[in-house]
Amino acid sequence: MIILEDFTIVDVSNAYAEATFTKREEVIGKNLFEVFPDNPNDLKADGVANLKESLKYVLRNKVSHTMAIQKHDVRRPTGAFEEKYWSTVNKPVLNSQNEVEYIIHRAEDVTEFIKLKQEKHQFELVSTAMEDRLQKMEIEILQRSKEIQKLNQELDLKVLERTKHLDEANSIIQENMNALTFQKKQLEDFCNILSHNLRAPLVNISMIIEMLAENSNDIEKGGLLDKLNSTTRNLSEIFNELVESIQILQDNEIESEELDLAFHVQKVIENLQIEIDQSKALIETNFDAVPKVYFPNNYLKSTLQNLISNALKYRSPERSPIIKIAAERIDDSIFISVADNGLGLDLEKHKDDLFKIRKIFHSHPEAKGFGLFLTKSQVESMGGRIWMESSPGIGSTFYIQLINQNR
Amino acid sequence: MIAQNNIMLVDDDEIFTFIIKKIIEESQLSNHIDIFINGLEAINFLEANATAAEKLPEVIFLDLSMPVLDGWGFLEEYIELKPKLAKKITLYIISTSVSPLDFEKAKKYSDVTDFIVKPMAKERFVEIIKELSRDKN
Repeated sequence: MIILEDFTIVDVSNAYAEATFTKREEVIGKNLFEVFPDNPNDLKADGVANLKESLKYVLRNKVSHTMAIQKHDVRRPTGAFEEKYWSTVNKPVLNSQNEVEYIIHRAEDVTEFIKLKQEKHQFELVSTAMEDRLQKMEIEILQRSKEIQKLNQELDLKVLERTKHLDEANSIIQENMNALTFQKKQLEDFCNILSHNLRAPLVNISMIIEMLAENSNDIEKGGLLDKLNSTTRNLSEIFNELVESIQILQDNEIESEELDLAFHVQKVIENLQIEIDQSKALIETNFDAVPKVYFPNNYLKSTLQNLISNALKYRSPERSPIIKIAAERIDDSIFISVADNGLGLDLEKHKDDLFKIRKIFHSHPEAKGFGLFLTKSQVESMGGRIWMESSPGIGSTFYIQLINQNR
Repeated sequence: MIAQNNIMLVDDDEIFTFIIKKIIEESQLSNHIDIFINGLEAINFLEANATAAEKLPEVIFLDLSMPVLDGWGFLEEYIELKPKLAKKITLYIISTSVSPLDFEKAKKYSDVTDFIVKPMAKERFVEIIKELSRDKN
């Protein structure tokens, strides 16, 4: 039988017409399923549905499709349905544009074979056929199980891939969280700076101006103007320091270079020579294990300068300062330590404030509390870390971790 | 009239303490002001004069950001010390901080009467001192 893609019957062989109790001229031009509907008395009838599926498969994939043995009862001219089993192959005929032009529908009537089997007649014939079928089924089952196994393996791979993707996504989220926490911390630091360090001199200026306006005594006015002057100077110093630290946070261009630790420490010692002589400080260095680091030149200079001058500034009045500077390599990082025998700090009380701008811990005339904030900004902008260990009355040690040092 | 009010000012900001001192002198609201540049010095003074009511202040103006012992540290020590003090003392925080975190933290201390954000208007200052005198009488 030849049918169009809308299932209109184009032609039918005489044998087919005979097997289906139809006449060739009566079925041509009619819809396939109008001619061969399901048996309304068979509630389990699925002939129409399965045939339709097979035809759609052929239309969709442009390849032949062999149906399993299918029960599809046929209507006799009297109207009664007769039980029929079919072995069906649907095959597409493609035109030059590779489109399905026709479907050739071939259906073998296997009713008798099936009935034989069902009725257990002619036992030998059936059993041979059964054996054959059984063998085929076994092969098919084997093949199916292989397919299922392959599908399972593919699924496993997909699950693995998904898990990997999820892990990656999680670690990205974690990284973003860390960056956010860091930025939040910086924002808090800046709020703190605005609140304490910039507002304080501004407040003072406004109060002095108010007093100036109310005061008529020239001598007192002169005193107030002096105060105004020093406050304004203080404000502009803080402002410049703040701008400098913000520039560090924004400077992504800054380049690391190979720097000789002994050389740079020596430079700092020369800068601080007067204080070192006055305090009779002893500075010991050991860079045998790690003579060189990779870091921005200016950052290393200012970091060493800050840490060494802090160690001198907060020396103990009871003993001459001994400052030990050393470097150590662990994996890809270099750790620089600056240890002193100075005043030390109670870290329990101060650890949150240690690296804040203008936070000072000793009532010391030169204490300005800016150096550590700047050093921290510089070290962290290069991905490093700075921290401190300290005991009151014994001394402090600052540690700096520089990363990416294996070049 | 010069009232018998002792004032304690705990603040490391020289300019601010200078201005407050001026205001007090001009307003004649008090005849005595003790200035301490950090919390530790202030606590040491209170401890040393715990039983000497005439030396203890009526009011403390406490800054938050100070070296050695800051305002929060002072408050902790002050709470410990308070039962031993021979006088009822009113305490104000007076700070440049505009951080809500600091405001919230201050609320947790029942000993803090108010959180004054600098600049402190002269009028507000005068009002506080006058109120103290009224309470006394």
